[in-house]
Amino acid sequence: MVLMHISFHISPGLIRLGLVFFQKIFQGAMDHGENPVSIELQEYAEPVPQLLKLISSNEVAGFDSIMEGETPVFPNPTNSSQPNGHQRKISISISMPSSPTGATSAGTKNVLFVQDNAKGFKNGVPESCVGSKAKPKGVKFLSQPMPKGSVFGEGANMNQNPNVKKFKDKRFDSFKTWSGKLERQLTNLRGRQQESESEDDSVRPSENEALPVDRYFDALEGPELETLRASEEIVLPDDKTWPFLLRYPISSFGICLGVSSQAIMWKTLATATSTNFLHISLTVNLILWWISVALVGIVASIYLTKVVLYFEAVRREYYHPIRVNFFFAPWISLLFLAIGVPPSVASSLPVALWYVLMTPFLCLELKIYGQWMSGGQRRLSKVANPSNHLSVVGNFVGALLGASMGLKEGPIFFFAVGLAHYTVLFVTLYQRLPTNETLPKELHPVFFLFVAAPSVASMAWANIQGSFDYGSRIAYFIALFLYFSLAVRINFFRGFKFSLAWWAYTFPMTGAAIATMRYSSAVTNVVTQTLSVILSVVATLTVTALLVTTILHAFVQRDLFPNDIAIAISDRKPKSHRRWFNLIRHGSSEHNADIDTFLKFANGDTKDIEAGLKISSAEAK
Amino acid sequence: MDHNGELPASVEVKECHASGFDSICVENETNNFSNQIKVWQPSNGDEMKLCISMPSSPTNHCHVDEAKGLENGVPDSSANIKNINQQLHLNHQKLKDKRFDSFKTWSGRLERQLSNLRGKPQEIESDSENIEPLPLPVDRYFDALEGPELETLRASEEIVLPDNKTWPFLLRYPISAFGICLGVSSQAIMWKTLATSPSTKFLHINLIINHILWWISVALVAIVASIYLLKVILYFEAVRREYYHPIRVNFFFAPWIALLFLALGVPPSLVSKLPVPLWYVLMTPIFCLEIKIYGQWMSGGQRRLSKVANPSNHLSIVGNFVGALLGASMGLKEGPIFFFAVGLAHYVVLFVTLYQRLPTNDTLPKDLHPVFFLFVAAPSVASMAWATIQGSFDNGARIAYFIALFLYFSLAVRVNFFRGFKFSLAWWAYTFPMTGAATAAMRYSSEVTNIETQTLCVTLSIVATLTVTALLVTTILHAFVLRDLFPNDIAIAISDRKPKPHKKWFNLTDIETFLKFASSDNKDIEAALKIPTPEATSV
Repeated sequence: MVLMHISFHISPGLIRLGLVFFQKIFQGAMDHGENPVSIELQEYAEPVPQLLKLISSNEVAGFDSIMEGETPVFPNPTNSSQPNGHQRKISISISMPSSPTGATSAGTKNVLFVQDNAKGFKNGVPESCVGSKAKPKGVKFLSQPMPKGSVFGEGANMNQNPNVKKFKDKRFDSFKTWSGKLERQLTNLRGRQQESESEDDSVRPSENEALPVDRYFDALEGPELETLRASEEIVLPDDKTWPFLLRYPISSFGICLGVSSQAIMWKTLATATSTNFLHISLTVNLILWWISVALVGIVASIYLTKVVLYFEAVRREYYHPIRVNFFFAPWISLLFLAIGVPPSVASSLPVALWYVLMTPFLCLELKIYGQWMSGGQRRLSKVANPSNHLSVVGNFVGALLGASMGLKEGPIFFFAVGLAHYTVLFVTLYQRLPTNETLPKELHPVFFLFVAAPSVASMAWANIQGSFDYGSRIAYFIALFLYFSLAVRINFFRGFKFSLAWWAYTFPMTGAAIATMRYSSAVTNVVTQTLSVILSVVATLTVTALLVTTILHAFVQRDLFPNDIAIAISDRKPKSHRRWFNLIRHGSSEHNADIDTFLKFANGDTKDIEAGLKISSAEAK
Repeated sequence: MDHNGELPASVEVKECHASGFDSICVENETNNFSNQIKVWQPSNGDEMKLCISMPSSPTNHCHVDEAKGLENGVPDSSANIKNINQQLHLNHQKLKDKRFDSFKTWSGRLERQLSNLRGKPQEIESDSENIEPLPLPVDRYFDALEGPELETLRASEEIVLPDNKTWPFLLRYPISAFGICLGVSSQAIMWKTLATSPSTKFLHINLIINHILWWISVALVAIVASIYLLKVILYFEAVRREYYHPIRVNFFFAPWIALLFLALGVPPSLVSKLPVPLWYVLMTPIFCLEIKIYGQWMSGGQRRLSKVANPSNHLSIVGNFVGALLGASMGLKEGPIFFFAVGLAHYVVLFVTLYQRLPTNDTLPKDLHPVFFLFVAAPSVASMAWATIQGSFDNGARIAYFIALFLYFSLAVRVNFFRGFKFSLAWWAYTFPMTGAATAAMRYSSEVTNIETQTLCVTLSIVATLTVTALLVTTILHAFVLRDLFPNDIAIAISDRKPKPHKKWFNLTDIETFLKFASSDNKDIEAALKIPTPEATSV
């Protein structure tokens, strides 16, 4: 990305800056061998030390908005770069690498840089370095070793400049909707140009472009892609607690899913013919429904505040390959509310409501399924994760609601869409392709989402068809088998760190319980009735346990909303040179294991080797 | 593995211990390596040859073993090595009969434990702790074996049992022997259907054939099962290794499917109506095995479907449909649908995965192989099961039947590709899909009775019968003339150690090819990479 800038604006100043930039990148690599780039650097490093400091400090910090804050330190960076005209633009472009083509590894940069460097000699520096045009690069290698310590020491010092501290509270500005870009735009509109325009130009693309999905895979790990890898850094301060809204994830809607599905379950328990013998009152349903209405209201309004105040954070959640599935959760919980509405509140819902509720589904599905189909980085073989079920289950819930409202064609439409994509997702998840970086290696609570789609589909089909026929039974039995299959492995589900997203994993249990009640209404005997009671008890207990855990985490341990690392990953690869360096010494035995495992697809170490391979192919050029 | 080649002797001896010797070897080791079994090559200090002898502890934690090896009084001068080699040559005859002990249930560990209980610690205690049998990692199976049934040893690998002599019969007796029961008992069903189906009335086939075949298959099942039961009792380790074998594990469904076939093909004169509890009894083991196998697919680990998919996985699916067919024909309602649903869901997954031929599928045969006939089994049985559940051969049943028919044709026109394979007992399992297709064709032609369908079902029946007959003749030939019906079962005897792992990725271009999934030449590349590089060894 940076390299692209370099190759476009060919100028001596650019080369210098680029050199400084890569000097920093290859700092770690230099002790391992002679690095031509770093040696070449030195020649240009001497004449303009001032400029060098600016670039390296910006580079190390890597913050978007703090850049602006740092301008007081260098009161007029444009002046400092006056000696040759192109430098100003370049310095900024280097400090803000955010173009979405993140595929190039550091190794590629290295090689490309050398080539660009040669080009720069030819074109950009005609008057001073005539000789260098003819000379091969290797001529310069014999100059004295570069004083990397001095340049870098200064860069580091700049980084710890006390002035930076002053802007600490502005560190969240890049995520704020109103503070950063927009404010500036407003002031610009008012005609006040308090900042240099060029900086604005460079800031804009970095904020408008989405973080490439690669970055999410590279920087995060864990079954929900929520843990930062050791080598990565984040753009928000990780030593203090962020503002509440930044820590408030979209997965909070999971609570609404869990509770409102409980409301449906108790409604079914009270009304189903097979569970009449329990004599459950509809009051439970009424209470739970109002609770879930309140929950949905609270959760949604808080999230709406986040959308308004921290739109960048919401956008980063939307581009997160796992989180995006949770954007279905608000609408699913609205559907649940509609399904679980107590008969005393509304006997029949208006048909228009269904169309209103299903519109966002259709739009989101067009987007998500389209991403699966049309390639790019979000193809299913890469992003498949059980939480994708959230994007499928909405179809069946919608079909269920529509069919229970008496609609005919609309529900079948969504049922068909859901069925097709459920088949694809089911097969992909079962295959556990080695390219599936997001699939947890071991079992995880998220796997309970497997149960959700078939159990809801069985009810939806029963409603569409009018009776619990073979189609419904097949779906129901699939759900039941998956439930058993997970239940016997319950031991594997321990030892995970609690997260709010777990709420979303309870509604499949509730869904299976409801489907069992529907089934036992069709086939009423002791076995099915026992099963439906057991599953209801299990679902209620799980929800209760989760409620207790949530309350504990919220009020006792006060860590219900930890810093949401997933939205704060930086858009730069931190130390990727370490990766390919390993491969250069591929004869050593300690990396045998890595490649060995990769060859066997034992785990997802793909990236390491791909990074290594890229450099090898680039070297071949 | 960071020791550099300063001390060649100690490195070699350490490597020798990396093998994880079994108890027998360790006994001998304490006698100053006097009874080592295998032949060493004293020439280049070949540590790998040392490792061969009796490694049977399934974990290959080289570091632990190395460290232990150093503790256990290893002579630290390199001069000893040649002495040891000579002694080994002298004494390696004596122990031959004990080489199978590690697979015996009663001989090795247990005997020692018993004697220890009696207060006679005649061996070093630490050694007997060493051999706690852990399951062999599935990686080892993929690394050490090749071929469509993962039954051929790769050139670079060694086995823990002697490969120059014939093993005890039970060790050579694979679980795939139940394939015979599948083949014959499905024939019994076919002849029963031929005799009773309205569309084949014109053939005037007597139920006697069904009767005879059924009794034959009952006898076969009894014989095969009792022999295998003996193996379970006497050589439990061998059974366990078969169970962890990624292909063989599917054949563990075969005994239960054979029982279901027996129940389906029971002659009407014998029993008019089977007791319902029988169905539950028969389906319980299938259900448990499915929970296990499908759970492995879903829950990760090394046995994920994208890695182990092989047409023989159909055996783990088809049990559902056979069970559904039997249950529905008994008059049950919900149970059959349950198994039908489970089978359908996982059949879709398996079907797609097998058709994709993912490059990660180590176990998928490169070319066509008789195992591909299992493709026909599931849909043809599913069509009959659905027809029985539904009460009529409706559109659902027809869809499944036509899928089976298409797959059958698609394989039949390529029948040329099915030659040139070495006969194995597992082929019997591949005949029952043909019989199943013939039976389904009869069901279909009972629904749509005309000349074409009747011709088709007669043709398919003849083909199935001929195949079974041919296989029978071949089996008899191999059993009594060539006497190689039960060759040494290499698949259960692979060692738990990687032989030369550092040579796997000798140059980067190979990895590149691999990453690009350009070809499935993994094995060739790996074979080519086995060039010994001394500098790599000493790192």
